[in-house]
Amino acid sequence: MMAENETPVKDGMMSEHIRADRACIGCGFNLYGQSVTKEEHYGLAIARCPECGEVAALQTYPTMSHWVNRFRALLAGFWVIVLLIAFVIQVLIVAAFADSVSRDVSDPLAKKIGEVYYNWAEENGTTTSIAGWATTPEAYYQWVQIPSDWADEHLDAIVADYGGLWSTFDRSNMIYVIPAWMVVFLAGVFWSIVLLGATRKRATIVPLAASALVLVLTYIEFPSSMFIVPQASDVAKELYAHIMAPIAIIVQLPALFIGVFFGRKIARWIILLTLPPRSRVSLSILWTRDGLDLPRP
Amino acid sequence: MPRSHICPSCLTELARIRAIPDEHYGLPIVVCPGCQLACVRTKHPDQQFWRVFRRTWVTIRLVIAKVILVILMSLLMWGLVYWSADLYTDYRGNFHFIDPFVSGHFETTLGAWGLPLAAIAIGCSIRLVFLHLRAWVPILMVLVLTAFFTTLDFTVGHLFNAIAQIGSFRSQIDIPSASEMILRGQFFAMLAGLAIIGLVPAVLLRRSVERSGAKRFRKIRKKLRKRRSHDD
Repeated sequence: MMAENETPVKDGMMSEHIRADRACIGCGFNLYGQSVTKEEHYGLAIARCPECGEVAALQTYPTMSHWVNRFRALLAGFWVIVLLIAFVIQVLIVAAFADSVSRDVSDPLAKKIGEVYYNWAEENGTTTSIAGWATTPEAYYQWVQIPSDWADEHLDAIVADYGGLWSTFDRSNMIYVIPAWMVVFLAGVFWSIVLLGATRKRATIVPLAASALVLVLTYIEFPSSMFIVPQASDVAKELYAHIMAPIAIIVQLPALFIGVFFGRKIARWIILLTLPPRSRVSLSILWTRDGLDLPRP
Repeated sequence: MPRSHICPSCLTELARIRAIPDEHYGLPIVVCPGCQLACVRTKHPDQQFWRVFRRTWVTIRLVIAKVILVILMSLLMWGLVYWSADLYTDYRGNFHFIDPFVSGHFETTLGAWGLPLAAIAIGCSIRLVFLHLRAWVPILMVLVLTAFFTTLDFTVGHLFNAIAQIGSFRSQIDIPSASEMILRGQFFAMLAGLAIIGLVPAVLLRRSVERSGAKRFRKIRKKLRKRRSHDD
C-alpha cells in the first residue's frame, strides 16, 4: 500500500537531510533528519513524513492556517468592543459634567422650592419627607420630596416669584469647566490615537457623537416621577438641565478639538522621549499614517 | 533550533546560514554554499503575525510604564517640595537649613538626610531609565512636571478668578499667597539642584547598567549556542 503512494524520485538525488525544525503538515511530526528528495514531475524538493506518509513540499512554508484569519477577526472584534466601551465612558463623562453643573447651579432654586413646599405642608397639616430629620429644616429644604401634582400647580409661580431662572443662577459652579477641559482634552488625545484609520477631522466625529448623544438624552423626558417622588433638587435640576447641559457641552468642545488635533503629535513626542530608536519601529504607524517618516536617531 | 529552509536547487539545509537583507528591496537573502543560488527566506505568516503583535504590545506597555514612572517621580519631587517646606522652616516661615540635622529628634534628622538623598536618587534613577536621551532631557521632564504640580493650585486659582471676572461672580477658591509661592520656588530650586547632582552617580552606574545588560545578552547567547550544539 505504501509503495503505491510513494512519489517517484530521481535517482542519485537523496543526498540531503533536514537539519532544522519542520513540522509535518499532516500530523505535526517533526521532520528533522528526514531525507530530502526531488520529485520526478516538477523537480520540487520534498520530504516524506515517517509517521503518516504525507509528502511535504519544502520550497515554501506549509499551507497558511485558517486560524490566522480567525484570530485577526477575533482581535478586530475585541478592539471594536473596547472602542464601544470607551465611547460609553466618554458619554458618561460628558453626562456627569452636564449633570453636576445643572444640579449645582440649581441649588438655590431647589432650596426655595423646598422651603415653599415645607411651609405649605406645615400650614395644611401635611407631613413632609424631612419632618423627623432635624430641628433645623432649613438645611434640608433641597431634599424635601415634592409631589408632582403640587409641583404642576405651584412651580411656575415659585420661579416667577424668585425672579426667573437666571436670577438664581449660581455662576461660581463654572469651576467645573477647568477639570472638564483637562478630562475632555485627554479624551480627545485618546480618540486621535486609537482611531488611526480615520483622518483627524473624521476622528473628531466619534467624541462629538458622544456629546450629541448626551444632549439628546437631556431633552428626552424620562418618566422618573412615575416610580419615585422627586426631591426639590430634582425638580430644580430638571428646570436648569435644558439650559445648562448644552452650555456645559459647548464649553467642553474647544478642549476636545485641541485634544484630537494634537493627540497624534503628543503621542509621537512621548514615544520619541520614552523609547530608544530601535524600539520605535513597532509603533511607526503613528508616523506613517500621517505620511511622515520615522525620525532617524 | 531554527526552522528548516531547504535550497530549491541542491537541497542543502540553509537554516543555519544567516539571512542578509539585500540592498535593493531589503529581502532576507540566503546564498546557498553548495550551488551559490540566492533564495529568499520566507517566514510563516502565523509566526510573523504573532511576533508583530507581541512586539507591539510589549512596546506599548514599555511606553506606558515609562510615562507612569516619570509622573510618579514628579509626584515624589512635588511631595519633597512640600516636605522640605515643613522640615526647613519654622512656624513663622523662616528658613533654617541646619536645625533639622542637629535637632536630636530621630525622625527629623532622618528626614533631613533622607530628603536630599531622595532627590539625588530621583535624578540618578530617571537618568538611568532614559539612557537613550541626552542627560539633561529626563531631568528636565521631571522638573517641568514637578513645577506644574507645584503651581497647579496657584494657576487654577487665577484661571478661575479670570473666569469669575468675566462672569461677574464671586470666586470662592483659596489661592496660595505670593510668599508661599516664593518659598515653594526656593525649595523647588534646591531639590532641582540636588536632582541634577544625581547625574554624577548616574555616570558611574551607567557603565554598570550597560555591563549588566551586556552580561545578560552574553548569557542568553551562550545558552542558545549550547542548545544548538546539543541539538546538532
